[in-house]
Amino acid sequence: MSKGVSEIVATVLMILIVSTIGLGVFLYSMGYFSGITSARYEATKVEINAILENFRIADAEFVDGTPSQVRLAVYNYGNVGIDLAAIYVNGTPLALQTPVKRLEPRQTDWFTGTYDGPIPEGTLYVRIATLKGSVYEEAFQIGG
Amino acid sequence: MRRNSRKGVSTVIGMAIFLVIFAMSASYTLIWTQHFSDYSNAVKGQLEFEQLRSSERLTVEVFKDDSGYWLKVSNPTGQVVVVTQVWSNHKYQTGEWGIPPFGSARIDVSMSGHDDNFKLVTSRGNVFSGSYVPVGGPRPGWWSVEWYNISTPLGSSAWYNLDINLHWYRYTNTYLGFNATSKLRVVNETPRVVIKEDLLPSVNLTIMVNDEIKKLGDWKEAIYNITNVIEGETYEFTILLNTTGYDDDFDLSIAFIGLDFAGD
Repeated sequence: MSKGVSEIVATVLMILIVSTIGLGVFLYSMGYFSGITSARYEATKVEINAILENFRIADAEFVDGTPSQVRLAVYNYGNVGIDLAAIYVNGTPLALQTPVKRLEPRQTDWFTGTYDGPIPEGTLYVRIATLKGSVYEEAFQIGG
Repeated sequence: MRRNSRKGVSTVIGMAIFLVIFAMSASYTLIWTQHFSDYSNAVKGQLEFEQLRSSERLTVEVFKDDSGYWLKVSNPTGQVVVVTQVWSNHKYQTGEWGIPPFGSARIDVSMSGHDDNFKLVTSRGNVFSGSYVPVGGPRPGWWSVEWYNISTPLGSSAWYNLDINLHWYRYTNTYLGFNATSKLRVVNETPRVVIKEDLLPSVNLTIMVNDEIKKLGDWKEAIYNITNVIEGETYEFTILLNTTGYDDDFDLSIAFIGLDFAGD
């Protein structure tokens, strides 16, 4: 008789333990997959927006002074807004007048960086970058 | 009996667990696939856009007249190109100028403070440029025309054109012909004279370049090369018409190609 009871108790206990572990694993995996899905969604959105970022330098003005200025007219010809975040001249990052410049689709605006010392003569490789990592580079001939 | 009953229950539970796992996996796979599909569609759209962008071509010619500068923009491609900005001297004007396929459009420059160099930015982000070149554009000028053998000037502003069309009324005209001179600059490697209608041999037409006869008499409807001239140089061109011995009306239609009125 007592042998029969302990068998039932053992079975109930086993069912409880297995159910608890199963439920735990289930809930954990739900959270895990949900997190991955959410992260993947965000990453895809960022990647898609980065792909759709289309911009270029429409005009550039190099003003000698202390400090010198590099003024770039940037045209966003894409269908998503862009956040300009960096200017590089020959690989050197410039200090920006506006840390992040927002350009809506079809908008053109000046994006200015300051350059220590006079603007060097010759070919200047100017690169601009967005917060999402898209870049545009163009070479400008300065002087002779 | 009891054993068989338990076996059935575990099968059902196993099946239920399998279904839960399968449903979860399938739903997440579906979501991830959808993300990949969105990404692929974005890439595809961008590639199509780049294809259209790379096939844009425009030719920009800059002209200046009394009303100011204007641009003649020609589109040699089979797709519409939309110009959205015109830049000059770090200033710009915006608008929306559609250039039809294989056609052209005029853009009037309305901004102030511009120079002779213009950049056009299209809606797809391409930039095309053109400059005003005084020696290359249509230059105002004239022919100085005198009556034949009388030296009575008709006026220095008689003809403003290098495409001359006139009807000679022989019966009412007391003069025998005319002598028209102008300074023309050679802008093409092989300048030409175009005679658009046959002239009778008795109508004596002579073309002279710096007093050197290039062609006289027996003009047929044709295009004649003007030889021994150098591109970029300026010469005095003379059109000499003598109708002595000819008693009828006629049309003279003559055009000069690859030449332009000299600046001074």
